[in-house]
Amino acid sequence: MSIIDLKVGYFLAYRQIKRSSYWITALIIFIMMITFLNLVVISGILVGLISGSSDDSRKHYSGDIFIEPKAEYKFIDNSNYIFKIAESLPDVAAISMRYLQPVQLEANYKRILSGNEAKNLTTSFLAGIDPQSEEEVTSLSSFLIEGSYLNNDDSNEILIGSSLLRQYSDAFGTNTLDDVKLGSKIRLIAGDITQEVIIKGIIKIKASDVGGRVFMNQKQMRRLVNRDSDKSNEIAILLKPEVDADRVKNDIINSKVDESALVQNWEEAQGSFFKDLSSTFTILGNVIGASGLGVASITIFIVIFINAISRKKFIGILKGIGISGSAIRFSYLFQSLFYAMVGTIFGLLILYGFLVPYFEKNPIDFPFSDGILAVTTAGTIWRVGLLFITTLIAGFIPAQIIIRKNTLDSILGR
Amino acid sequence: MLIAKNIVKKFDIGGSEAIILKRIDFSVETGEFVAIIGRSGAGKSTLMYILSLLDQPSEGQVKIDGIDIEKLKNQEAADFRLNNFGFIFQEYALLPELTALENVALPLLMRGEKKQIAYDVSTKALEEVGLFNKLSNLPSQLSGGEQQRVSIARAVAHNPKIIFADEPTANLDSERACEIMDIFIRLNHSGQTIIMVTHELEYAESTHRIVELRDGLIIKDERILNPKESVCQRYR
Repeated sequence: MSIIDLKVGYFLAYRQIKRSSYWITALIIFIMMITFLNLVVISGILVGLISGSSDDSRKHYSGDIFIEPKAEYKFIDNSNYIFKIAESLPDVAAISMRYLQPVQLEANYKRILSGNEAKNLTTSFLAGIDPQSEEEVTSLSSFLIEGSYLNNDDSNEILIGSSLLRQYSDAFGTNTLDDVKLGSKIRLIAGDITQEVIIKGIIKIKASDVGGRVFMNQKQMRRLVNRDSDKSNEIAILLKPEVDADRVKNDIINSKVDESALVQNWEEAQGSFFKDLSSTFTILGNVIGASGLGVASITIFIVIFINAISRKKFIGILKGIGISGSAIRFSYLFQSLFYAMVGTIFGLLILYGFLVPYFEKNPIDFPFSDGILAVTTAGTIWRVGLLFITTLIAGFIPAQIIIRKNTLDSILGR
Repeated sequence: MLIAKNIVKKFDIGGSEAIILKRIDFSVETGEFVAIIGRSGAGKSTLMYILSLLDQPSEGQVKIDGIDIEKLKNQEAADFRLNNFGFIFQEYALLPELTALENVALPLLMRGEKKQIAYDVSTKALEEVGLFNKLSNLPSQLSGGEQQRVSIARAVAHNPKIIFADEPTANLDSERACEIMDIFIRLNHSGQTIIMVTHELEYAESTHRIVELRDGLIIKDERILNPKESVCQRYR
């Protein structure tokens, strides 16, 4: 094997591609392109399904850093101190402190029930928020589908998640409120406390931690359930762009926050669920992609094999006149490489020129998330490499089979 | 220059052994133009394949300029053929996707010549066989005679020690065939050693020497004292 072998191999491959049927070349390139897209898009959609959900949770629930009580505590003690610590950090963009209370919601409570008719009840979490801070961290108002957002002067007004309302929920069952509209009065029941509230707005968001909640101005909420402002349940912190969440997380921890507080970055806050699901879907995507890769490699194998078989005599002549086996082998490897390369280039153009922007603008409407096409540069490079290696092997084997045949037998067509 | 001693070639045909060449001794001097003739199945092509390193003898030894060529390994044999031999096959054996110029240049490129030099030498070789105006034609755009002339240009372009021609006129009409033979005569006059297998006595008589094979044996090895200067004379 030498540079001359490479040069002669390229010389032969270039001319064979240049003077072969355009239709056949186009068909092989098309198959390679479809294979590449199959490798990237299927796993990209499966992972994107989880990424979309995970991104939603980060952007609209946990923020970049999420503080909650440790398992053995009910509240984050000294919440105001933690808030001030976080507020003093230069990389923090916004903070939302939330107070949670499990509640029952009852609609149509003034109606007299007949016979064994059940109450129009459901359970949820009442979240006391500072409307402005929450808006800065999670853009909650952007999910309003009816009504208007909370403000600091609200007293008995609430926002309610659409998944608590039968007309918006796909899951028919007893856990949704029936016949509740904008402006309806419903009853909040928290232990011994009962309060009539008015639906000021309805929010619809796929992040289940948000879409199944009821939101109220935190001052009103704390007054209602008699909660001290220093005992919050969640603190969501939004960082400035490109800031390392772990660094800020450690800054907060090192500020001697109360031992009841569990300070986590957004990934830790989501637990292993998203990570495990993402890994499972990645494997699933890879399995589907691998079968596509198998089809492509068989296609290349057949194309090169038929090409080599039909050119057996010419391969014999090439060997006969002194062209080395390595040069002939390289000519087939270059052809395989050409098909893989052009197929991949078209695939990349379609991927980044059309599919990624399309799915960004038109996410797939899954029940629990807006699925995007999760494509990473590293993942794409890895798949391109995989496609190239598979194609090269698929091109090499048939070429090798023919080249190893006896030169004279090939020339004489034996 | 070329010495073949005790060449035996056996084939296994359906479980029984067929002896195609039976202890043949044969030698060719530099500058000779030798025709190997014989009926179909006489063993003439088999002998040429062994002499040209395309096949191995079952027994015997072939030496070219003192080198025992049947001991060369595959790649060494390919390199030896590339550097020392030129081949002309009955069916032209041109690569269909290469132009006339590229077909001729290919062995030169394999020898490591720069592309421009290879193309210049090939152009000259094609010019010598009368195909200067067909450099860019693909084999499918050439007649049989023209394809065989390209094949000759490819065989001579790298200035080989020996040209092996296997029935080079078999697929051509008389006029085209005589043109090919005249090219061989011209090449031989310039010092080129040529070993040609043919079954046409008329063409064999334009060589220096006729070796006739029958049933795997050399039955005649005759030198031509006054070989024809041109086979085409009678067409003019």
